[in-house]
Amino acid sequence: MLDLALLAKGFGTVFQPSHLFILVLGTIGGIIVGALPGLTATMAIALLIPFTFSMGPTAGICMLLAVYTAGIYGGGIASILIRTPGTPAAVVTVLDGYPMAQKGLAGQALGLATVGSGIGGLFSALCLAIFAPLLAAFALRFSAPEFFALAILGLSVTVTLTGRSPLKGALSAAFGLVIAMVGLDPIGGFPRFTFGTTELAGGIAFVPMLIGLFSLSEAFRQIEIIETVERMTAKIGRVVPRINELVVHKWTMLRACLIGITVGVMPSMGPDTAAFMSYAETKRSSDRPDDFGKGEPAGVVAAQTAENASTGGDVLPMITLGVPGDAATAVLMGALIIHNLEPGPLLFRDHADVVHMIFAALIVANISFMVLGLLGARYFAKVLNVDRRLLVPTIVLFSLVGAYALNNNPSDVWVCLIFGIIGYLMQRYDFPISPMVLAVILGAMAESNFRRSLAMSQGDPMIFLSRPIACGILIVALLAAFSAIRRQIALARRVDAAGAR
Amino acid sequence: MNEQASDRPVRMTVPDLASAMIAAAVAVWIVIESRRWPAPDFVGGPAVVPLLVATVLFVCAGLLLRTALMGRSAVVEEPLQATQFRRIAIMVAATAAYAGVLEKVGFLPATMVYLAVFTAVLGLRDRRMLIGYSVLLPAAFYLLFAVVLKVPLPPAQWPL
Amino acid sequence: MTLDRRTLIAGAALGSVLSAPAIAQTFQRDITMVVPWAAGGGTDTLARTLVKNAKQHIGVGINVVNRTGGTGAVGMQSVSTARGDGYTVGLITFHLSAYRLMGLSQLSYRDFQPLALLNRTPAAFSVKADSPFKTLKDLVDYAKANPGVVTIANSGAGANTHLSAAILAKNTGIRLSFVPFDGGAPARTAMVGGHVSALVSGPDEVLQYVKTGQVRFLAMVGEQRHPSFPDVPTVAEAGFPIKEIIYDWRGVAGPKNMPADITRALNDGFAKMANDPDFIALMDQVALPRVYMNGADFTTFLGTMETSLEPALAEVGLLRR
Repeated sequence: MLDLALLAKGFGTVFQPSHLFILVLGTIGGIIVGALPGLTATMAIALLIPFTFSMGPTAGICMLLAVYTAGIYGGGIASILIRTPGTPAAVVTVLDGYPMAQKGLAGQALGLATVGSGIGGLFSALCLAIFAPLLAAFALRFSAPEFFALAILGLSVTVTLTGRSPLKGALSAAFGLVIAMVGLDPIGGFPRFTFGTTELAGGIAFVPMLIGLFSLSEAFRQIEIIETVERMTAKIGRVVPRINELVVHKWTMLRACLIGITVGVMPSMGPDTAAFMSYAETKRSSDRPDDFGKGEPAGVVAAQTAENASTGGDVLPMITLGVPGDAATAVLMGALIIHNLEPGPLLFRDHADVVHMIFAALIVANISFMVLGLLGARYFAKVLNVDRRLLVPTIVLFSLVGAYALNNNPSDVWVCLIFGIIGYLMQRYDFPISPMVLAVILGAMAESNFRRSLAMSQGDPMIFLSRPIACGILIVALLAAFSAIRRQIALARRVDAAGAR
Repeated sequence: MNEQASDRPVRMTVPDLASAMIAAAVAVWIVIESRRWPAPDFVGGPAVVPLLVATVLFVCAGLLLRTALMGRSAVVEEPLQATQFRRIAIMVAATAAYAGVLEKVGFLPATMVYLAVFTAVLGLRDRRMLIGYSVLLPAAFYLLFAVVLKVPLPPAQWPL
Repeated sequence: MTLDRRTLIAGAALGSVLSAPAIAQTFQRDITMVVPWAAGGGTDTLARTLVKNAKQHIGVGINVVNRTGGTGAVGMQSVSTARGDGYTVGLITFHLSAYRLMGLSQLSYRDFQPLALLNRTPAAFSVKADSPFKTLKDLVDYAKANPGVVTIANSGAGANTHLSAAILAKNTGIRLSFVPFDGGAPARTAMVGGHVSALVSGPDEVLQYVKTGQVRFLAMVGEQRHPSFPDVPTVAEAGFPIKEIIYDWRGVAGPKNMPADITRALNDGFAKMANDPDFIALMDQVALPRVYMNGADFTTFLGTMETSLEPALAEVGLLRR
């Protein structure tokens, strides 16, 4: 159950001036990074992990959560103003946001996007605070077989986290599994795939790898396209919406909240799917579906609200079970582990204060970006015109120095650089990165718990079927994989058909 | 990569072939490596999961190879121009050099040179801006992180 | 600048040779202590508490730097190859005894100048309160009758807990199923949750549970009974004398090639820090047994440790030679 006394204590911690300051700083940074096309919330979190390290866990987590929520919101700003989504999830906001801006309603679109995101995020943070302790209490009964089943469930759907080709998604995930195996064998304790080096005995450093894959790779991409950056010309106008402008969208918001949180909880589905589904549903149930795509405010509200409503849902399985659903939460999980707070049911028992602080910080972060967004959207929009020739080197510097600073280990800079190149090539040639990152976490979790379970049962594989919870999760995983494959095959047919024409 | 006529779609046949080869090579390597590991008492030894992953890699490599050979690789939407390629190659090399000398030369001098090269490659021609940026950013970075926040940065000393 | 520093050190060294009370001036600037494990962990906390009052004891401060990777080998290696001017020292831990034997790295205590042993923790066997095993003998007898059925959780393959249990199995001729976890906390949870028959861990890991009566100690490894748990028998007292006693240990060391006077100054300094009330209070609070040894005794201890580890690693199939 949600412990209100602890939650109050959590708010107390978050509202300490130094923490609040850091949280607001994170919000500003998150909005800016989110608004800049190409820079995502995931990348910002990965970049900041090494620097939050010296702040200590509470301040560091406040900052990262603020960056996460504000980054997802900030994506909408670029969607509305320059027709380029700031983050992948903000693609849907483009559909009606940009036409609104063309009609001279950029301010109104920004205002609705801000309030929508804020309300969606708040709703989802509250849901997280209510449901996470329940799920965690239940998960305390889990042991190795159950965690193995959960990891398999996660892996079975990572392939759907793909761009255009499920095959390339699968290959990306398979490479992630290989990366997870480098280092000491989790059960036997002897080195695998280390080339006899000491450096690799502890495995490939996770956070430097993340920085390389998400941040440095994007910087390389920006080096490539440096000449072709859109500049913002739209006039913004009044941002803060009137109450009646919001009230008309109450059902749209409620629908978006419910869709967002549900989609968020599903493994491998995040803000982008939530926004798509909410937009489609709002359009379908509207009396004027033809207005959508031509600057219909409800379209912006539906997309932005669902996007942020999915954040709490995404965090839920990560924090209670240690199973991240998408790249952003995988990176957040890495951050928590770095701060010695390993997500999972034990976190709720051993660090209940921190968990409630996280709930409080998430709630405050959503309010923070809503207020700052309403007051400052027009100023944040200015970053769209910042000189990329100065921005890109700064990102690279942050990436490399961050990779070094985390462990004081110069070889981590190389890890970062190598994965930066790999990530750039993967992006360039249609290999999605997220399956790889998730497979690194889930692969290690699956293998160690698989073999730990067999050690418990003296090699009897029936242990996975005789324990009802493990067996149930495995069946769900099978069904999920099956339906994902069917969906992908159908999609591939449609793509082929379109190509043949 | 060469510039192609815009009416013919550029397919990622070569990258697909290359990744299929890499996947197959990694799979072979896993199989070879895993034979050196001790045999376990029961099912679930150290080689079980690696061999499973190797199988997945083989299958994926085969399928990707087929797609590539049938000429059905995905279309590259924005083919890489020669100038773009050169720019990235220079920056990858410069970054590697920077990573290599970072600890020996010291954070401040190495970073200043690196940033100057970087911004110049990206096309910044305003010399005052270039110098100001590549001197002030590392200094500010150092002050903020190493001095104020106590984040351990690479040693900053000048080589003298 | 380098030249200046050398001259200063040479001068200081000379000074301390000429006049004994000048020992406080051996060091002119702060010393760096490399901790090969992540900040916030047990080893890191110990190191930071140890050096908190360094200024009172050696005249200069000691800054802790976490240099992690390669299961601790990266950080320890950087100490062993550091300049032997006394300004770089490091925490060394149990893993150093095992690297060479397990084929992970050529690094061993021979690459260091050991300065002070700070802590030595034995392994403790414990079971859930409602377990049928009342004594270690019950467990061993049952395992003898039912080979492989007894599952025993430990904090990781090759850890002192795993190896202590392996030595017990070897000496008594029983077969135990070792279930390694990723650290002490999840191993403990598996035992408390009834997923394994027993746990072998540091006594501090289960302290809270023993106090509330949820967990019962069966026995502890060690020459004598643990001072904090006088009621718990040693494994030998429980009926199974063990020659190879494997401890989890933590200590301070510098690079091999330090001048004698600097080694002496550091030796004395860490002896004082290890007896600092703040440090003692922390160690008592977390129930880590404080065992101080000076550099010479520490070196002998590390030699014995390797001889004890070899048969244990061979028993669990981790020995690589």
